[in-house]
Amino acid sequence: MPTICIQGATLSYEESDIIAFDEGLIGFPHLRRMVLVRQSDIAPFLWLVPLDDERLAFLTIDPRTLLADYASHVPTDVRARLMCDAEDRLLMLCMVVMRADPSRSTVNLRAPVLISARAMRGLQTILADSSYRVDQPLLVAEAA
Amino acid sequence: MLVLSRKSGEKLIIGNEIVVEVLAINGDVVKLGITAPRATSVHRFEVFAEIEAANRAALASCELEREVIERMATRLKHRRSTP
Repeated sequence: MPTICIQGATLSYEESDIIAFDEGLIGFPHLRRMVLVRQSDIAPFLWLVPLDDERLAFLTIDPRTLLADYASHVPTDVRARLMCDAEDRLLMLCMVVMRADPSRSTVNLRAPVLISARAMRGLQTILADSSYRVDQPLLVAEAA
Repeated sequence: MLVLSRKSGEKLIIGNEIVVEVLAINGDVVKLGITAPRATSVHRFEVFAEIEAANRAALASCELEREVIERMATRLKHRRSTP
């Protein structure tokens, strides 16, 4: 079984766990295959781990655990890009920049990652609503 | 880089489907109209560059000590359970 390494821990995954990112991530067009790793000690955070560069891992969080009414409408092009139906439930994740000083930790609410678990496809989109910040302080987002 | 000169009202096509039209030119501002398939995202480059930089910054999180992430996770979980 193939494995990935996150923060010194080696974890195995299966072919069926691989999420296709046909467009890569913004600025990282070569990252086409990802796995999502849940670890109970860091929930609600999850790791989005690219298989195309084993040195990398993105820490993410479902933005709706921070802001219940976050981006209630996904951009219209997203489902076409994911090749999924209107009924498919999409998992939404935002990238977290964690710093040793918690007050300086931020979350990118402007460009969420959307994943169709049924299609096992994902992408990163940029929301038109520019009131969502790229570097929203994590604790402020949580308190809002 | 391909360099083309276009007048107001003229167009160019990228691939078979993406059409860019110069709608108006006012001083140093060029207004463009872009027709592209729905699955093609179009953004101002500055926004794209900002997200790219943010993604790059996010990669540093996995170099952090586990405890820092665990502490924040606990803090978020705790806050959520207290209304």
